Amino acid sequence: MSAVRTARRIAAARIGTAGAIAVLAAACGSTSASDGSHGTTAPAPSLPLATAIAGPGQPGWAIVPMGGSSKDFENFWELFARPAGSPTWKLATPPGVASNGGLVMAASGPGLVTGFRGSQDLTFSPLAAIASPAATWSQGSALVSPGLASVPDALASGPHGAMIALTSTGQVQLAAPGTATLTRLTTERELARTAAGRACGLTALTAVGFAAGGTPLLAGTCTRGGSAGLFAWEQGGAVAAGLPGQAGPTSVIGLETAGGRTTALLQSGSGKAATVLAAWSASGLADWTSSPAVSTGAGNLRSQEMWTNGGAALVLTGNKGEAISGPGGSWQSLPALPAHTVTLALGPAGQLQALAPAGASLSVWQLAAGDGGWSRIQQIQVTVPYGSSS
Amino acid sequence: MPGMNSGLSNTNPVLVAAFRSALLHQGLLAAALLAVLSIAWVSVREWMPSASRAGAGGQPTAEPAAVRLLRIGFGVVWIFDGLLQAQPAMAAGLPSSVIAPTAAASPHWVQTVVNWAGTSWSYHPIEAGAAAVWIQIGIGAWLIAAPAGRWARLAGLVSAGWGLVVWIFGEAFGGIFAPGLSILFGAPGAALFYCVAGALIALPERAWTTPTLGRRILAGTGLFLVGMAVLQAWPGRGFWQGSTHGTAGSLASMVGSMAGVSQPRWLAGWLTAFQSFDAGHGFSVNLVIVIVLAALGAALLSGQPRFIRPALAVGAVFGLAVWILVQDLGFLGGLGTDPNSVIPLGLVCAGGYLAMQRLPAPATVPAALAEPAAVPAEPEAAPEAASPAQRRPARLAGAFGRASLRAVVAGWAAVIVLIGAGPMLAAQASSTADPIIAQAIDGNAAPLDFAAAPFTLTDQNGATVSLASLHGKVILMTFLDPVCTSDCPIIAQEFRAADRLLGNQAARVELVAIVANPVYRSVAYTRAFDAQEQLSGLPNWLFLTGSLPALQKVWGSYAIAAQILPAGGMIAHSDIAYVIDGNGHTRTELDFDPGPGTASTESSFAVELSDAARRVLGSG
Repeated sequence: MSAVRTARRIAAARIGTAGAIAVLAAACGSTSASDGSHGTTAPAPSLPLATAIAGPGQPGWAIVPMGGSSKDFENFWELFARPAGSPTWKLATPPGVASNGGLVMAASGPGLVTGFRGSQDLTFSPLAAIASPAATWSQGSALVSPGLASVPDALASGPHGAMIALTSTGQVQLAAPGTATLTRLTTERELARTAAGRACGLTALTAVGFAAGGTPLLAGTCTRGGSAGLFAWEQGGAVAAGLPGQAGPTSVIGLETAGGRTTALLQSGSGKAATVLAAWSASGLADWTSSPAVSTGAGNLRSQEMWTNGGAALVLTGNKGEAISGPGGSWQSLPALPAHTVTLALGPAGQLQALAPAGASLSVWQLAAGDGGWSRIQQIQVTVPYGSSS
Repeated sequence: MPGMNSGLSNTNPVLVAAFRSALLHQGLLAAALLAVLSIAWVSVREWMPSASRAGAGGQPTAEPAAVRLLRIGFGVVWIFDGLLQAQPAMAAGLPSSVIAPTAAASPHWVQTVVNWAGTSWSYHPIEAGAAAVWIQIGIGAWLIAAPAGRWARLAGLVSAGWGLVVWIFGEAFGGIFAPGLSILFGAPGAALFYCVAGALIALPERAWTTPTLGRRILAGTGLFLVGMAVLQAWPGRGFWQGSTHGTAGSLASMVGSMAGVSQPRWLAGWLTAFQSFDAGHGFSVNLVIVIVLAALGAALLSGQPRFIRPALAVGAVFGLAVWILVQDLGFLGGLGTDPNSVIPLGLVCAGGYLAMQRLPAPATVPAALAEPAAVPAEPEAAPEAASPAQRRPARLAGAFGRASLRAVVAGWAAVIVLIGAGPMLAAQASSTADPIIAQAIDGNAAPLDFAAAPFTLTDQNGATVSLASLHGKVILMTFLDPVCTSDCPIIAQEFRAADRLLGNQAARVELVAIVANPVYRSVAYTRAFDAQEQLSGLPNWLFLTGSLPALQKVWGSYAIAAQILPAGGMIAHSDIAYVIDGNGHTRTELDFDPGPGTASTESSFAVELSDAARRVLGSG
């Protein structure tokens, strides 16, 4: 483990669902941000979109691809919700937009903001917000244009309805607290030209988020060893957030802030030597604590999950899984995951749950305490809208 | 390949019926033309002095046997190809089922060239399909009927020219730029042999008076066969292996795919048996093929009749085997367009042999009689007192009467070629697709005449727009979901294209879309859709929205269903377009499901929409 001190301290702040919904439901007249930087953006890289977010005692949310079709547009990404205190999940995909381009979500207190990635001829990303699994979706005027990047943390919500988004063209857009419009903040190429960007050799943006105090965070891939591409956007510019990197190129593949703590997942190395580690800062990015690295191998990551308690999990190919409980913990190899598992979630009491879709059916498996193995606790049949986008 | 097809079923009943109708009409026209020509020819000959009509038309030029073989042989093949082009599925299916698969393995530049032609065809499938039929039947009849001399040579040139068009655009250069090239599979393309034969027929008679041309034809063919033998023997191309680890080699794989197409059972049985044999003895089979090709090539290159004769006999047997067991007769299954390369290659070889062995006898007919069309009118046919202008029709009539029956039929066949080529060229000059494609997808427009339901909604700029506020304008109206992923963007582009087609008349037309999504219906979303579809700058484009009750009222008035689908599906809504006249009367309803959204269907719907608008503009 290591700890790093930075010069900045960012005050913690509460992330409010109401604010996010207020943004989405804002009056007509809000417009999408236009990309005014032709020639200065680059496509964001792609990471597995399946993921889950939850915390003990909190609702759970999970994004899962379903359909099993060989045609991309016949596979629909579904959102499942688990009410706080309940072990069972229910289908909660927002209505009104085809989800065959992928879904991205951002926790917003007990609620959620969801963005639809563009697909087929749809090039921008509609948004929807919900206050809790029991509430109804709200769609207002906010949207992300160009569409959201194909990374699980392309969207994040912050205090008082602030929102930040990473687009497929490498542009970062921000809706400041109290505003209803996502406007262009910067781009990957602009960021790469800053002192902080040059210092890390930034080549791509991979995640966006907020620090506990509401400072926008931009994360990416650094080619210079020893640097991790996490930047805080302060006073109109990017500064390195002090996250330590590994030897060789390092990518931030996950970013989560909850309960005053920011968690980042870092991937480094290549081929069989590729590893992932988790890093936490509970001090407004001033100090970071890192976990040991777990060997994953390149190209084996099927999904990554980050929970509000600081825990995280990885689903790897070959029905393998790794989990870490939080700061001070170490990666634990999980018993062989049930077939088709695409994401790992937390049950109401913090038990691990595996969500495994097969065609139009989702199986929920739960890991018994003490390595008792996985047992299926629920099966959900989904009416996949085959043919609706053809 | 983009734009390569209309996206419609090859057997779409509307297109098939239209194709048949076009063929029938053009066929009747061709028959009527033949009847008129025949009557005129007989009549003119009756009026002419018997001596002049016997002396002129009845003396044919001595034609080399090789030319006669090539002319009649390829004439028959062209007619056969023309009849294959008349298959009902050909109009809609040729680009997607014949051209695109042929070009799929070729380099990008080949695909670009071929795609241009395929797109042109798919824009006008009826005209193009019928044209191909009549051009090929016309060329075939022309070749068969043409008397020796100018008529035959001209037919040869036309045959070579059209063969080149077919070879480039229909056969993607015979696949010579694609991997897997093999004479067994038809390389270098049947149509290339049509070109060669046409060029040979077009040569002047003096070229055939010595054995040199025949030797060159055979030597060229021999060189080609040796090259094909080397290619066949080249390692790593999959021909030496019958089957490896359960994977069929190149030949067994091709034969297997041919055996799977629709054909007589006995033939499929032969192919399957040969496939099994090749799978088990791939090396031996290829060794025999390589040896036969090399030996044939060497024999033809030798120029020695004692080698060439047995080589031609062996070649005939080998070619027949390849034609049946590998090429599956060339035209069975799917949309066959020709009997493949073995028959035309055999004709060229036979022509070369005849040219070497059977030289034409020295001409005994006066040169002036060799080409009837060039014979000057007999002086007594024209009245002495007539002016030159008056004499011209008489001279023409005299020449026509003296023409042989074959020349008359050849002339008719040439006109048939023009009957086919004319509409095709006219269609190519048009940058828009035939509206029949849209009708094939959604049926015909329904004429209506009733007062359109009023509405008051908000446009993409926040301004209030009502039906009354658009009084005096023809309204093209549809219902779109701003977050739709498939149909709505296509329909929007069809409206945009219709606006372009209207030209100056667009100033009197308003393009109106009304939101068809009960969830995502804010102005921000209509604006985002406009930006996505590049409609923001279109001055007569309105994307209207409003409160859910206001929208639901409009949907109800215009019979639009907007249903929320579960689990990640987009909104299901009706794809309909209305044409409303300047007095607020609904005049036309168009089913506007855009179908596959290919370039040709988009263009076709735009034409249908702009035509409907013009009709209302014209009637107003």
